[in-house]
Amino acid sequence: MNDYNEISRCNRCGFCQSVCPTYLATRDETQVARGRIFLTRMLLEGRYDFTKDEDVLEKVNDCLLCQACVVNCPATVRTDDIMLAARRDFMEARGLSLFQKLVYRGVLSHRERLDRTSFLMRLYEKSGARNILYGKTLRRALDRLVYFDSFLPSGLNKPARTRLNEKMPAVNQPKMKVVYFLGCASNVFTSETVWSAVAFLNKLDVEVLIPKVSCCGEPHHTGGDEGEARRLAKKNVPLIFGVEADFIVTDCSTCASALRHYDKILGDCAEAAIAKPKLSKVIDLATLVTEHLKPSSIDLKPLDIKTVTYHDPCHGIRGLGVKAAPREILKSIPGLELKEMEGADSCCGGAGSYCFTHPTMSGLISTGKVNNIAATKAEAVVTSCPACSLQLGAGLRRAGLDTQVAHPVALLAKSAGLKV
Amino acid sequence: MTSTHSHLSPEGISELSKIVGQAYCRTGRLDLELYSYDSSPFIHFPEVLVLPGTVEEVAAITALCHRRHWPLTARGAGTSLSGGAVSYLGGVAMSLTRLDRILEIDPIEETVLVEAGVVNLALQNVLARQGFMFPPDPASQKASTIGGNIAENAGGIKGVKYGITKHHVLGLELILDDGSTVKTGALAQGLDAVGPDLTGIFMASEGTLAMVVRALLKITPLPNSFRTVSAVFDDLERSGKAVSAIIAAGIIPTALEIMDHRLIVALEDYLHLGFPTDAEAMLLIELDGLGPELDGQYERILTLCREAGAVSLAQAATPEERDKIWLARRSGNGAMGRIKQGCIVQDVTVPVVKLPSMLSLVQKVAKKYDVIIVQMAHAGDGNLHPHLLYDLKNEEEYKRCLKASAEIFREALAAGGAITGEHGIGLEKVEFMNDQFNEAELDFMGAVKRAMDPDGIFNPGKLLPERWQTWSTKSDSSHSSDGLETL
Repeated sequence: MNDYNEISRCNRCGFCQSVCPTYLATRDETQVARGRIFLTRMLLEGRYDFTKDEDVLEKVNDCLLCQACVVNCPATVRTDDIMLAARRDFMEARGLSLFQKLVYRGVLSHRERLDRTSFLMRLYEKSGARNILYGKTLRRALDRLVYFDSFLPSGLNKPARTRLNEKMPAVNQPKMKVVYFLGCASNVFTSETVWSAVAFLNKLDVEVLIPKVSCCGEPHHTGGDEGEARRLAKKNVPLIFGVEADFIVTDCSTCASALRHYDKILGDCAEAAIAKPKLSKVIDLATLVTEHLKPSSIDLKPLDIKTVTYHDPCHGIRGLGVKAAPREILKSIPGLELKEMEGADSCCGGAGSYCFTHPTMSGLISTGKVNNIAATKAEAVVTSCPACSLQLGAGLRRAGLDTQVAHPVALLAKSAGLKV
Repeated sequence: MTSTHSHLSPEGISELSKIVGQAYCRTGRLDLELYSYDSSPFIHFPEVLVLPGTVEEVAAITALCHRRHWPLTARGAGTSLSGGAVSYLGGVAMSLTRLDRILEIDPIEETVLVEAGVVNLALQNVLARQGFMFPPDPASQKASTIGGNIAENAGGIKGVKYGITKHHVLGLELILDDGSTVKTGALAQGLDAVGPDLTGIFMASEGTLAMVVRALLKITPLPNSFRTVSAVFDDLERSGKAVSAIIAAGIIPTALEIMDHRLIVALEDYLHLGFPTDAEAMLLIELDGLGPELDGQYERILTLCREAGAVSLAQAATPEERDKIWLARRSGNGAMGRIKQGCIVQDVTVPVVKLPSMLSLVQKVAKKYDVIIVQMAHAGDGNLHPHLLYDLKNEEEYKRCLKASAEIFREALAAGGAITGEHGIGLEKVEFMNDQFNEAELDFMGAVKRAMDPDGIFNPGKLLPERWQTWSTKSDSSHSSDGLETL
């Protein structure tokens, strides 16, 4: 339950209008942090009811949780936490939504089922079924399907895990030992990034452990399904915090931010006692490379692209405070120019599965982002989050642009001559 | 009082829907709830919300409201601090935020043509790329729109040197009550003005005379050098004396901002800039212009501050540091939430010579009524911003704030000042209009209102006391607590 006094610290100054992605896309007060806070206050004042008022839940779910308002709020009102608490209250009063049951608890909670969805997606693409979608008559009728289809990259690889052993071989006298947290989306959608990253770490004499983890729990957590998030977190703790390692690293900013804040999800339990002292060891891949490894010893060669732009994932820039590291990596690649886009740190509208639950709003936000990317004329947009990668890729494909999407460390590995 | 208003019928709403399209004509309870407020404590529900996307749609909506006798309250970002944007008599709330195009920048004539819903800061950012600025920079500039800036005649931090909104508007495109379109000033006749300045009467008219849909604004080349000084004082009145001394010395800084102890602490808590949290007052001073001419003024200002009793002086070393200082100052209003949730913001003005005594008088008023009053001021033009804070659930404390507020209004008037410098009359200060103006002056304003809006459709209940309204106001008293935040 939200704290009334905390919520009403918002005195509606309106500064969130200048950064809230859903407001900037619509210029509509029903789509801004100030409005969402006001509604949550009205819930606590009893004007609305958690058990009945679906329209209020909709508004609460419209928030991307991108935290842009939080860092721009003169009173630092934590809209993200307030929305999470409201979602929990709605969940408790109304139960899970069908989407949450099917996708979060049904698939993301089970590692093997997630791998199977990868198979189905590849089958869909390779069988030619996707081409039917693009037939002229069907296209209009199936607009929504075409939207969803745009998220599926062509030439989707097998899940990353199928090519990785739990412990990667071939590191003699390792200089460092890391636990690599393989997140759901990285595993299924950006396996090349994972392979590149692991190969690159091995090349720098880093021993990489890849335990069979479950979903980090963030999708469940953001949907208000606190119990399931805690169950998953408890399963993961011994696997990642219970082993001796210098760092717990991941290529996904969302997983990294979730793990870094596991104490919030875990509450008081035995697992929390194991995790808490090691939370500061959770690190994103780019920061691990720039701050703790010395990649300067590696011979880097120019890539086939000359210009890139960087998109800051919300969980990277605001969740973890990562800004310089990925940019440093890009600047270290010879012959590569980093062209900053306007609004690099504003949410792309992907926001985990928001792009699937809120196609219209997400599409609007995506269009703005894609325009900013296109304005830089960069050949690739680089980001440190598989969900952002999916969203950016989908938006670019819908706009008919062939801009590549890549992870900074994947580009670095390529520049180091590693092939995956 | 010549007319009574009608409530909206389903047919009326469907007529509005035809004008703007279904998606932009809404009666959903949450749509109305979220357009019932602005940044003030006043809350009033509209009966329908419309979000027109073109000037033609605004004209059609206005004509319909006129024909049907519906109250029409326009709003931009909804950041009014005096209740200017809330739908006091219900009716139609019209959000102009979708009219957000910057139509033409003319660097030779130094003008820009904008639609009413353009956000002040968005305009600044576009202009800066061409080396220009629009000088009015209200603290709300991140959110507030040009239409709102005109409706309230917003000032800002740079007001002391560059003037306020009315000094930078060359012409307007207006929708009159019958839906017809007229242009004024330079939009009607080119830059050489002929005839009376009709543009002027719409400055601070708070949407009560016509709908402003486009504005031709004067833009100013960006200065190329800055000096930003923060002076720390152990007494609020002394910081005010430094301001009077600087103005008396004939120096016109770009900005002269006073912040009191509580504000310094709240802003430091937000931005961690290293502000001295034990200071009683800080005076932020900025000079702009050409580098060499600034040096002499800068030295003189340091001397004047020392003479007024400044205990320390510091200069912003980098442009980033300077940006942060001003971000801090602009965040003052929102940062009040760190102290208490409820807030009445005043913007009384006094002649600059009276500023020091007015600052300490406000402190005495706070003591007398036992309320927290946080003070900031656009000190260079004598514009005080006392923030009277209260707990939302403490009605008794709120009432003490209202009493303190009334006393500050009276004292400002007694000092030869005004009840508002830039936030507008709105609902908040209507009852003090009789103290600010005499009968004849109010009659004259009422005559203008009657000429422009005889049926009283435009933002009824605002600006003028009931007697001069052209529409009968609510029977159940204008300031009952159902129109305020929960207490």
